[in-house]
Amino acid sequence: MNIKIYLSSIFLTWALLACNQQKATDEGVAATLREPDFAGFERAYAPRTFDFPADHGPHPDFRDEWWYVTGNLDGPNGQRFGFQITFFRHGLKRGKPNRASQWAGQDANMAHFALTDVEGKQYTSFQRISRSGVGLAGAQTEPFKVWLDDWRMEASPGGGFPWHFKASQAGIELDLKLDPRKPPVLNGNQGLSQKSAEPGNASYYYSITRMDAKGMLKLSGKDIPVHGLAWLDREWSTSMLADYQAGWDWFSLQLDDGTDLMFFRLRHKDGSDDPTSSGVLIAQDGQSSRLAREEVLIEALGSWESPAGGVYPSGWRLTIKPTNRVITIHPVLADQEFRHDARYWEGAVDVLDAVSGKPTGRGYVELTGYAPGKVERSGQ
Amino acid sequence: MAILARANRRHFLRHPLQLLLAIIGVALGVAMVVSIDLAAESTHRAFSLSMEALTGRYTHHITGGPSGLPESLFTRLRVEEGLRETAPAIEGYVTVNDGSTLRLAGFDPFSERNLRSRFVKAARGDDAVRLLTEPDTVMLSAVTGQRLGIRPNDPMAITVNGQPHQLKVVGYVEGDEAPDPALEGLVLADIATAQELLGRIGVLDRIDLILGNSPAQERQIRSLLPPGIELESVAGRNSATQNMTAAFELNLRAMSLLALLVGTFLIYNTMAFSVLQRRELLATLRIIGATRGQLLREILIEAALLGLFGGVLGLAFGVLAAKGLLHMVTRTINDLYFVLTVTEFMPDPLILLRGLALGVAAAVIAALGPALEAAWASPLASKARSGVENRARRGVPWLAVGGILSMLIAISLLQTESAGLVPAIAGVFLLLLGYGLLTPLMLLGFAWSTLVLARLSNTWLLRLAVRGVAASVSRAGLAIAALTIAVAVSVGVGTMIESFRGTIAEWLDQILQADIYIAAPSTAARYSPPLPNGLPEQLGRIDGVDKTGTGRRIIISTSLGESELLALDPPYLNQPGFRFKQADGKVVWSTFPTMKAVFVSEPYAQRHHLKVGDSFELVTDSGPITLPVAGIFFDYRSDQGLIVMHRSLYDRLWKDGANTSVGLYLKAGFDLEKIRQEVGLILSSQQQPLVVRSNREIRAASLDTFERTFAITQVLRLLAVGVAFVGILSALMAFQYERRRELAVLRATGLTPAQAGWLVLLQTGFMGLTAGLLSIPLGLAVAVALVRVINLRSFGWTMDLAVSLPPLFAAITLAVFAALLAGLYPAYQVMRVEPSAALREE
Repeated sequence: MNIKIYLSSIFLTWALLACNQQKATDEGVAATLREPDFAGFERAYAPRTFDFPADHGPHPDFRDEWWYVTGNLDGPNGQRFGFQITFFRHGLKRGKPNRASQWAGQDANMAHFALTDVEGKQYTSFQRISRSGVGLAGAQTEPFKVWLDDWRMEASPGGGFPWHFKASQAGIELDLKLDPRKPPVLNGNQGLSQKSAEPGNASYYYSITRMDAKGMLKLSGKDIPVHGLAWLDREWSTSMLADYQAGWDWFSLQLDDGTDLMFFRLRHKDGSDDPTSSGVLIAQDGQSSRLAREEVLIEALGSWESPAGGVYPSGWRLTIKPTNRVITIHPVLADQEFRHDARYWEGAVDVLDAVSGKPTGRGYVELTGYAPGKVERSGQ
Repeated sequence: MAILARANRRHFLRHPLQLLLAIIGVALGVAMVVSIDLAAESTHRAFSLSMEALTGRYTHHITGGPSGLPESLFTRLRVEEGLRETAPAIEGYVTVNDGSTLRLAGFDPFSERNLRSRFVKAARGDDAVRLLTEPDTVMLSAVTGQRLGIRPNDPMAITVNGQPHQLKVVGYVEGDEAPDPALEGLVLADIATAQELLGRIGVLDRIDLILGNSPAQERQIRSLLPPGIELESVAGRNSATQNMTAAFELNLRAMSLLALLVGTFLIYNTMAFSVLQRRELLATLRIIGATRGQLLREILIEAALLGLFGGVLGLAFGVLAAKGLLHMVTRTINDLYFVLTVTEFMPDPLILLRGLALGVAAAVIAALGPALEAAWASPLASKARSGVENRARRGVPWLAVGGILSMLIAISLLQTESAGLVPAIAGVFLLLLGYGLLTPLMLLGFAWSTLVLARLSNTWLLRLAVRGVAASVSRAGLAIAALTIAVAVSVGVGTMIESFRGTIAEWLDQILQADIYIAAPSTAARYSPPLPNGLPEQLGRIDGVDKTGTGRRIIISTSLGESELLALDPPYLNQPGFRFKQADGKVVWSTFPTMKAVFVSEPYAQRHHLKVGDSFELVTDSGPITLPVAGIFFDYRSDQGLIVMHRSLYDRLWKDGANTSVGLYLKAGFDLEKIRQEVGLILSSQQQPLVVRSNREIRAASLDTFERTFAITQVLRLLAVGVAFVGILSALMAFQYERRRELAVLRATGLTPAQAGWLVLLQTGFMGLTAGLLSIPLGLAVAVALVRVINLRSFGWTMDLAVSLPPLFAAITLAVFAALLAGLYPAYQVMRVEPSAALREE
C-alpha cells in the first residue's frame, strides 16, 4: 500500500499535464478516481506465483506500477536523515505501439525524491516526470534497472543485490547501496492485496522490509557518509479508490528487536475503516504473519496543519494485539508533506515503547486524502 | 472672438467642397504614413511573437547540420549528464487546403513541463494523452482553427513534403482559454508524430535548454557535442533571423517617410488654400477691429481642428489599408526570408497617436505661414494678390540656391561608399527636396520659353494661360513641385523595377543551363527537402538525357553566422554557371571541380565584407574548416547570400549523400516533352512527390515571385501618385479660385465661356506638362540612386540600369492627365459663373 493508487489516478489530470489550479478541486480528484476505463489493462483477480528477481522488473500489462524505497539514515556525527525515492510507471495505453518513431511510447513516468534533515529541521522534495521513449525513463528486468533522467536504481554489475540508487537535484545528492537482510514478503493473500470489495480492485504487492542502506549524501556542499535501514515496496495493479474511500494511513516500522511491521488503514469518507485494511508482521528470521484489521488499534495523538491547508494526524499509539505490544509513533519533523502535483504526507518517524517511553525503532508513515489539491513546488 | 469663429465657420459652410478637400488632404497624408507604419510594425511584432511562442523560456539551443542531430544525444544529455531543463524540438511546414503554410512543431509534453514554456498549456488532460498515444493527432492554434473552420475532433487534411496526410485535431492549443494571436499558424504535435509526419525518424532539429549564466557549463556541453552540432544562445539566433529582414523593413520605413513627405505637402496645400481663400474676409475682420493675435490664434485653432478631423479619418483609412499591406508584406517575407505564420493585425496605439499628432502638427505648421501672412499684412494690402506674388518671386532664386545645396549634399551622401543605408535613403530624400525647391525657378524658365514659342505661333490664349501661371508662382510652384516629386518617384521606382527584372531574366538564363529540373516541392523559404536516394542516377539513364547535374542546398553554420550553402556538380565546365564579378568567369569555372575553396554570391560578399582571397570558417560534419573565397558571382536568389562549393568538396566535408535538385541536360534533337513524360513515369514510382519543371517554367515562376515581391512597391508607388493627385487638385482649385475675378473681367471684356474653360484647362495642362517634363530627370536620378546605391546597400546586389522610353512618356501623360482632371471642375465653374456675379464680389 502506498501513495501510488492515488497518484496513478491523478497522473492523467495533473501530474503529466500541468493544468490550472481551479481544476484541482475535490470534485476533480473524486471524478478522476472513479474513472471506470481500464484501457484494456489486466487486473489483479487472484493470487499469482512470484518469481524473483524477475518480478523486481516491470509488469507492463498492468496500468500502474511502482518501486518505492524509504529509510532512516545516520551520519558520522549523530546526524539523522530520512529519505524517500519512488519511481512510478503509468501506462497510458496497453501494448507496444506500432510506430516508426522511438519517441512513441505508452508510458508516463514519474519519480519523487525527498530528504528529511532532522538536525537542520528541513524537509526537501522533488518531483520529475518523463515519457519512456528513447530511454529517458523506464524499467527493465535483465539486469534490473529503473530510472528517470539521471535518477536511477539498478542491480549491481552481477545482476543481483546490492542495488545501487542515485538521485540528485538542487545540490542534494543521495548515493546508496541497498542490500536486503530479509527475503521479500508477499503482502495480503499471497501477494494479492485487496483494495476494496470489488474483484480486481487489488494489487500484487511485495516488500523487502529490511535492507542495509549505506552510501554518501551530499548536502549543503558537504559529503556525509550515511548508513541505516531502508524498506522496499513493490506494487502493480490496475485499480483505484472506490468512491466511498477517502485515503489511507500507512505504517512501515523497523523495530530494534529485528521485527518489522507494515499496516495500512483504508479510510472511508464517513470516517470508518475499510474491511480490507490489514498488515503484516515480519519476524527477525523473515517469517511473516498477517495482521487483520481488528488486530491493530490505531489512535492519533495529535494533529498538524499544512501551511497549504489540510489537517493531518501527527503521532499515534499502536496497539498490536497478537503480540500484546503497545508503541507510540512520533514524526521526526512535523512538516514532511510532499507538495507537488500530488499532496501527501510521507515522513520519517521514531517508534517508542508506550510503557517505558524508550526508543524501540524507526520507520516511515504515509498519509493521504487529508489535503486534496495541488500546490506548486512549495515543498522545496 | 465669437464673430471671428462664426465668420470662419460660415466660410466653410459656404464652401463645403473646400472643407472636404482639406479634411481629405489631411486624412490621406495621415493614412499613408499610418498604414505603412502599422504594416511594418505588425510584421515586426508578429516575428517577435512567433519566435517567443516557439522559444519560450529557453536560453540556448543545440542545433545540427542538414541531417539534424541524433535523438540519442538528447537521451545522453538527460540521463547521463542530468541536464533536466532540456526539450527536444522538430519543426517543419505543412500546407493546408487553402494554400497557406502552417508551422508544424513537434514537442515533448513532459519535457516542456520542466521548462514551463508556452506549450505547457497544450500539454494537459486527455488531449495530451491522445497526442501521446494516437498517431497523426495534433493540436491547432485556435485562431488558425477558426480561420480554417476546423474544430476540435475534426479531421484536417494537410500536405507535408508534397504528400497528403489526414490529421486528427484533438483540440486547440489554447484549450478553453482565449485564442492567442501569437500561436497563429501553429500545428502542435507530439514529437513522435512530428518525426513520422516530417520523415525525420531518429533525429531532432533542435534541443532547447535553459542554462544558467555559466561559461563553464556551456563549455562542458560543447565538449559533449559531435562535430557539426552547435550550442548557441537563443538571443543570438533570434537576432540573426531578424537581421535578415532589417534592410527590407528599413526600405518599408523609407517608403513611409516618403508618404510623410508627400502627405505634408498635401496638408500644406490644403491649409494654405483655405486661408488664402479667406484673405479678404480676414482683412475685413482686421479692419473692423480683430487683432493680429486673435486672427492668428483663430486660424491655428481651426487648422488644428481640421488636422484632428482629417487625422481621425486618416487613422480609419490607414488601418484599413494597413490590413491589405500587411498581407503583402507577410507574403514577401515568406517568399524571401522565413515563414511568418502570425498574420494577426496588431494596431499599435503609439503609431496611431503618432499619426494623429502628425496630422495636427502638419496642419498647424502648414497654416502658420499663410496665417502669419494674413495676420501681419496690412488689411488693405492683403486684398491685393500682387504683394504676395512679388515677394514670392523675389524668393525664387533663394529657394533655388537652397535646392542646389541640398542636392549637392544628397549626391555626396549617395556617393560615399562607406556610408550605410540610412544616409543613402536620406540622400534620396534630400535629392527630392532639393529638386522641389528648384522647381519654381525651373517653372519660370519653362514658362518663359513657352511664351517665346507661343508668341511665335501667336496663340494668345496659351500666352494668357502661361503668363497666368508664371504670375502666381507661389501657388503654382508648390503644386507643380508636389506633382513633380510624386511622378519622379514613380518613374524612379518603375525604372528600378524594370532594371531589376531585366537583370534577373538575364541571370536566370545564365544559371538555368539544364533543360529539365527535378526537386521536391519546397514548403518554406530557405528549406529544401532532399530527394530520394539514387534518383539522379536513375534519371540519367533515360534515353535522350546526355548528362545530369545535382545540387544540394542546406543551411550551415559559419564564422559569419548561419549561411546557405549550395553544393553543385555541374556536368559541363565550358559554360560558367555564374557570371563572376571580378575574375574571368571561364578560368575560374574551369578550376571549380578541383578547388578547395568556395564561391560566394555578391550579396553574401557585401553583407560580410568579403573580397576574393579572403577566408572564413565553415562548420562541417568533420569539424570546422577555413576556406578561401575563389570568386564572387552575381546572384539574386537571396539577399542573405549564398556559398557555393563543388559537390566533391562537400562530400569530403559532410556525411550527407542527399541531393535537393537534379538537372537533366538533353542530347540535341530529343523532344523535351517526351523525356519529361519518362521522367514523370520514374517519379510516379517514388514515395515522395516531386516537381518536374523545364528551365522555361522555372524562369517564369521566378519572375512571378519577383513580381510578387515588388507588388508592395508598386502599390506604394501608386499611392504616392494618388496623394499627389489630390494635392494638385486642391492646389489648382485654389489657383483658379484666386483668378476668378480676373476671369470675370476677361469674360466681361469678351471671352466666351468656352474660351474661359479652355483657358483654365490650358493653365492646368501647362502645369501638368511642366511637372511631367521636370519629373523625368529627377526620376532618372532617383532610379540611379535606387539601383546603384539603395539596392546595393540594402540587399547587396548590383544590376544593370535599363531605361526604356515608354514609362517616361507614361509619366508625362500621367502628369498632364492628372492636372487636366484636376482642372475639369474649376473649368466647369468658370464657364458657368456669370461675370457680373463674380465681379459683384468686389
